[in-house]
Amino acid sequence: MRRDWWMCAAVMTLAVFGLLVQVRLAGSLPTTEGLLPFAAGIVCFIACAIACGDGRAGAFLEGKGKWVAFWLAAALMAALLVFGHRYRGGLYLPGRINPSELVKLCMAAFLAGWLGGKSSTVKGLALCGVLMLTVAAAGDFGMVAQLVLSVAAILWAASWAWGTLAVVGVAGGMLLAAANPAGHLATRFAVWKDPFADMTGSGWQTLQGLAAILSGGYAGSGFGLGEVQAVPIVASDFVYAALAEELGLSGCAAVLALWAFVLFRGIRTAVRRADKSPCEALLAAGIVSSLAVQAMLNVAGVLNVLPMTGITLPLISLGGSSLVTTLAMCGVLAGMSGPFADAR
Amino acid sequence: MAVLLAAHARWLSAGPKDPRFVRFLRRYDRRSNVGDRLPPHGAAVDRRGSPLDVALPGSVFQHVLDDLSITTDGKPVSLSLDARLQARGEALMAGKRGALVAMEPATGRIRALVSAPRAAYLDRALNGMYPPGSVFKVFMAAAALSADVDPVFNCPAEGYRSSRSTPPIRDVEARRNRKWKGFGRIGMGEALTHSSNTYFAQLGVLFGPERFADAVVAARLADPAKVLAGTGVALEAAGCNVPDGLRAPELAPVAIGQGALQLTPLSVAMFTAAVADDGIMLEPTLSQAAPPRMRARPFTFAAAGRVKKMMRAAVRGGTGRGCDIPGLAVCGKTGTAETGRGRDHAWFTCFAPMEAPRLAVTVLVENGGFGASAAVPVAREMLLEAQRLEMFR
Repeated sequence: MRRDWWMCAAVMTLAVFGLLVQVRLAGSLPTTEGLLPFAAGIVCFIACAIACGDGRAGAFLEGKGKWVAFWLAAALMAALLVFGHRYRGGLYLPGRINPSELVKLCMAAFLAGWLGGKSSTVKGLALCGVLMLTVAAAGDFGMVAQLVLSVAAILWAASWAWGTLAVVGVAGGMLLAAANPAGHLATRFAVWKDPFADMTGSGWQTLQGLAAILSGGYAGSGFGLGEVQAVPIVASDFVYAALAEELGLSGCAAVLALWAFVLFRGIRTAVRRADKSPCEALLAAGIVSSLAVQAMLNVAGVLNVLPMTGITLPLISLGGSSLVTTLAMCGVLAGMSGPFADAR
Repeated sequence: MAVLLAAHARWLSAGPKDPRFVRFLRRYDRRSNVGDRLPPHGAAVDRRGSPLDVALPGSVFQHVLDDLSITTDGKPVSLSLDARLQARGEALMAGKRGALVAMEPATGRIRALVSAPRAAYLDRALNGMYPPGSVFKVFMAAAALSADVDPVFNCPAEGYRSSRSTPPIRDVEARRNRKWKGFGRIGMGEALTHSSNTYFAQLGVLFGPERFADAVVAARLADPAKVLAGTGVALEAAGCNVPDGLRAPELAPVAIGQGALQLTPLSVAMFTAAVADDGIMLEPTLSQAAPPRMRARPFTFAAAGRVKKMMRAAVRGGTGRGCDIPGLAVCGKTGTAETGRGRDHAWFTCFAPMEAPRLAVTVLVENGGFGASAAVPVAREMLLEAQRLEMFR
């Protein structure tokens, strides 16, 4: 099996496109939140691809790897809860680093290693629950939603019964309710149900986003020609509205199709590795589900199909930690796709 | 992903049909290309179905018509306005500050409604508050006659003092001509024809606070009027500022329109129309479809008939001579309201023809000076335009 170069190309296209979008939205090249994480992310992508190649990821996770992942995540969350400061409702480490992004990868790795090694599921889920509790304590609603859905996806991939999934769902729901920073959750649900109730207040961003999407139509106004700044904080959560206004439904379809291609190739990797290394298969499934959930929750939030969760559109939205982590996750996928010395 | 794209595509077709979202866009969206894709907004037609461009940007009507066109599902809104009369009114008031109202006395339908200059938050005709000056004498005369108060007063050149502490209320002639001897003993007819302040100040005091309060309630001067009632859209004309607890001496300046009482141009048009319509006041309306509804019955038939004749005399040989149109029995009353600073506000309120009134016109020109010189020509042009439009047939 050769390395999945097509997937690598798609990821790079998305990352470069995301940087272009950020340059357009900022009006100049954003250094600390754009170029620097982009460079770091490319390095991480290559490093992860090499490190996880040739079955090394599975071997590592079956051994000490899962504990490394678990304690790394635990340490990051502990540091966040101790040293974190609030910014726009989220908790960040100094330098506005959001370590809970990395927790996504760590938890997928831990659970994949645990379940692939045929250890006790309940114990593994309990440990994941502890990690998610810390994320909930940090008040990161969107991240908890992502983690819960990604855990469910890994369980499903490990062919677990629907009953277990139901338990995870209930527990996840309770966690989501717990991760409610200062009543933001109620506001977001209220905006989702009726954005017109407070149209110049809490509903403003959503309505302006919808107006941008409508003004873009099918073809869009052209890259750089829209009035995208009418949407507040358009560069991060609402970047999809900017894409929709300037590139239209067709441009959005192209971006989502690229993402769908990356995810599809990730699933293909998971299926191909299922016999050789169940750990790697589950890790691929975890990464794919995490990225899919992130992209879908973000776009659905902007379209007001679901409440806004405050999570970003991977590789496109402004956000250094998210960019680096997403590229690292894609690097892991690329590494696990091949080539393998024992394949022939 | 496909589901999301489907949701995106669905929004592109459903968004412009969502009335609340359309309203949001019209009020708050800065993208010009959005409006182009929506049905032409604020489209309105007049009573004959001709397009009406009152929904010009910057007017109070803009939002109102947006709301109206939403209730009619994008079809043009049919208003009671007459496009040509409205256009003439807008042209006549261009460059001035003030308001113009033309309404049909028998139905309450507003045929022209101008607020100049165009402003998004204040419609002067509906919500501007002004001292009415002498046009209020029409109301006082009709209210007094309705209560069988019809006195004869001595009106000397030195005027009338309602109390020792207030300066005398005098007639304009006394200020212009020092040798003027005064009107002498005159009745209400002569007083209204020549707009005697001295007479009406005394009438106010004689009429008294109780009867005055009753007359204000009977005419519903303080009540707001919903001029789009029945259409599902709220557009309210303000109720007038009527001071409470007036004592008899304070009614002297109120009776000549210079007291604490402030009226909207629409309310002046409404009581003028009530005089024209034999004492019956109809709900003012901008909707062509809404059936006429009675609002109040402030004056008696006999009182309205007598005030009509007095207003006719004022146009034939009194202060309103500038509005005498051959072949049309115009009844009118001028007003010149002192503002305390700047030039006076000029008023003229009239209706025609006397026997079967078809149109009442009220004109206010802020700081226009004398009513006879600033407001009367505007009203005259409006009546001539209405005559050309065969509204008096």
